[in-house]
Amino acid sequence: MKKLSRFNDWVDGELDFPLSTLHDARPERHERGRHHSMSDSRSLSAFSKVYALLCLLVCLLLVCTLLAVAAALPGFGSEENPTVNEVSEHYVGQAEHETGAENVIAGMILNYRGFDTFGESCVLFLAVCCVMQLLWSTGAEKKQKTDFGGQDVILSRVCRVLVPCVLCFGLCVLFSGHTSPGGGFSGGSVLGAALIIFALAFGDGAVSRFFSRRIYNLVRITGLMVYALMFGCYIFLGANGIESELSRYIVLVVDIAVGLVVMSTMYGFYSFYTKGEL
Amino acid sequence: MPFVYNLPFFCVFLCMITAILLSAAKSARLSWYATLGAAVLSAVMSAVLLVYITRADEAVAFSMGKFPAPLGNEIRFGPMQALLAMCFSSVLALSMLGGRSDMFHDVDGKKMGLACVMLNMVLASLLVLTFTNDIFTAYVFIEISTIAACALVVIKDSGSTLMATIRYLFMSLLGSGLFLFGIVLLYALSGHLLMPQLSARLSELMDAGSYRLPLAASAAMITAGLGIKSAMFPFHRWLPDAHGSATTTSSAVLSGLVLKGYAVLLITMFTRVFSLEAVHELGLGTPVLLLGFLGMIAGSLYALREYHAKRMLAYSSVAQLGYVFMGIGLCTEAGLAAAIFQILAHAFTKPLLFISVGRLSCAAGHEKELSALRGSAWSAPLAGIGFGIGALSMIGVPLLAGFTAKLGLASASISDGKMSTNVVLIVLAVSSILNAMYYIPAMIAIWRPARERVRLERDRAFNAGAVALIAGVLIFGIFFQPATELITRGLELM
Amino acid sequence: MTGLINAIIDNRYAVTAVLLFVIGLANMLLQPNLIKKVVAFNIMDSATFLMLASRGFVEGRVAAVLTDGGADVSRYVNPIPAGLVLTGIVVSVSVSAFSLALIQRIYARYGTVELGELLKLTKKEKV
Repeated sequence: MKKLSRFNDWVDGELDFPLSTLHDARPERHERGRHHSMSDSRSLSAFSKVYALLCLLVCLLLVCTLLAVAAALPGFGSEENPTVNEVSEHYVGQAEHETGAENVIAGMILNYRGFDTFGESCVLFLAVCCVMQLLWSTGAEKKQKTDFGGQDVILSRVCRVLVPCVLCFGLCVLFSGHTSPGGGFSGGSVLGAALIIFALAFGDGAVSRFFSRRIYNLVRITGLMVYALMFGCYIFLGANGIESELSRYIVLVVDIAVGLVVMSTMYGFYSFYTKGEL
Repeated sequence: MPFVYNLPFFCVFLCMITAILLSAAKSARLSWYATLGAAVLSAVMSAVLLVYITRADEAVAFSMGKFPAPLGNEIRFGPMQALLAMCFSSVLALSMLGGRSDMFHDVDGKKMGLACVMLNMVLASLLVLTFTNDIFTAYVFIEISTIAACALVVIKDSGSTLMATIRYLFMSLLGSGLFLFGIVLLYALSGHLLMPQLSARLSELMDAGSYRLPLAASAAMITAGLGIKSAMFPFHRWLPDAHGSATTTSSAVLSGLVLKGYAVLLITMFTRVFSLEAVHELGLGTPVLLLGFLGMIAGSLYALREYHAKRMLAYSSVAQLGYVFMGIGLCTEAGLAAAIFQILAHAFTKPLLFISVGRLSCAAGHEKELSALRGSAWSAPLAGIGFGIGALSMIGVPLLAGFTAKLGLASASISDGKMSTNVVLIVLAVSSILNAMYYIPAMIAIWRPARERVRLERDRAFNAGAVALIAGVLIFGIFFQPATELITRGLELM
Repeated sequence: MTGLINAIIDNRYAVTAVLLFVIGLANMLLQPNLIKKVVAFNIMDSATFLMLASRGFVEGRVAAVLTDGGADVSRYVNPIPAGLVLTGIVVSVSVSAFSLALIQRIYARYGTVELGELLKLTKKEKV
């Protein structure tokens, strides 16, 4: 029973997991004494109880309505589903001919519905900018450097074998996006993962030797700009009815550009979360 | 297709490419000027488009790529969209001018480039939300606008903005989650994502009377999602903190523009996807109307209790959005036209008020309590005049934009000829009185005879921005005829 | 009664998605812990993706990556939901990253991620 309550505490974040040693640097939590928070909860209780009750009511109402909706939807897995219509059949039937991609999904998101995907890449770009804006340490509040790199023999030895393999796999996924499952988003995140493992094993210094702030920005912005300009040309030509072969090649080039963007995004998240700079 | 019809796509890509390039800019001034340039250029391009498309008197579908609908993405614009795009871009530029000194004061020089990225992205997302003809594109750009808007709050780095942003972010995420579920339901029922095809299929379903419950649920979720994001009454609690604590330009842009983007999208969904009769039949008109009423009254009541000038203005935005939702809730063409006019009027008036308060608080040592602002108008007369005109417009004094908007709403409810007419008129009157009850004391307070005048540096950027916004308020108040005609025609062409 | 049960079994994925969606929504509204709110948001989004993915599936067909069979329309499932889910996942990753960065900043400043305590601390700060 006691174990269970400890488990509960751990789930609630009250207790450190016994094995975790990474959290030594956490600030003290002495202000969070139990009686303290209880007396405060009493003062807030009137409002929060009403609020909780209202929320529960809304959720109950919503779940009943949505269950009825779900039961009334067209059946799962049938061929008469309204989503299986001329549009999806056109995509499956014509994608290879019109976009040069055997992977219909890649052809669809990068060509037919490419503007959405461009927006999506901009969301990623925007997320990195926001993380940078929030966590970029300005001179005064420089974070403590927690660079474990190169200390762990096992990790660094394993990574010497592992990182090239992961990189190769990532490149494979990236370049074969138009013929098989994969593409820019998945390939880019595998490449980003490889960079992150590399940074963990050999220290941040090892990464910034070849992937400095300038190169990082260059890769990120070039990737997105190539995408934006290429896609802009494609839209301009397409919308004005000018014949071009661009739509057949756009998938490959854009896939690689997206891969670069995603890779730098992943590594950027890691880098800013851990040390607040690149 | 004439070359002019490429301009909306150029506007969107211009903003996005400027944002991408600025993310690595080192110079704060350069990035600020580049953003201003992009906004001005996009306003000019939209103006050219407006002139051309009004002459041609048509609405155009522009396919974003080689493949036309229903295969590829598409945007669609008519006179109304062009007018909205022009106003949104120019108000963004003017808010930047008006809040220039505050922005350089509040934002770390190193992070100015990032702040400008957010401004550009906000503009791009607003334009796409206005132009879009595809519901999934709308979702993606709603998320862009969410992230960029939250980041605009937090560029002024303080404890209160952090807390305000996290609340804003979670409420927005809730809203976009509901919206996404709503459009997934629509897709499940119709198999289309582009609005014209979707609408054709939905009207078949409505005529056949099948799938009534899923349709109603999806429409309700879309309305609730967009309502949360544009601070419809019971979901407005995040707004005063977020808009009250941000830097001047951010507050002006968030209050004046970002909220409106979602309202415009809601109008597009109602007219282009569901059609007004269907919205009425699904029982959505009345709740939106009622929430609009409640927002108009409650927003003003909250604003009455505020002593913090910017929070007061933020609560007043809740009330003003209530007017918009009331117009939408009437479910008539006239009501929607009035709602869109209100969106335009508020888009000019609220930024004017925010930048005036920003300038006045400069004179009061960056304090924003109304007590600290007492008498500050004598140190910054133009800001005082700007605040006065903005406040009078909000109250609804003739010859100003707010009056025309209220007139439009009132006449829309009368031409409607339903039971709701009396209620609409009474609520309009009550809310105008409430508006006067907090704007007039604030106006008197800032114009109180001051013992000493603070010598402020000349701020040409502010002067230009404030004069242009005042001109906008006056134009929409006096020469409103062309604008209303454009909007009515635009709604017909939707 | 059996009709209802049949309808539920017929749409089992949609029912699961709806339940998960409301679980996410309720947690997002009621959890006092900011990190858990982010998790709840992710549950909510995943539920929507499950719903979307289940809409495109057709019994007995395979994913829309053309293999030796060529472009035979009746062999492949609808590719649109897959693409939309891909887009949606990337968007929700970005939003999660942004909110976690924000929470990291809040934690660095106030030393807690409980909403109630945070509100109390900020109230003190204002006075």
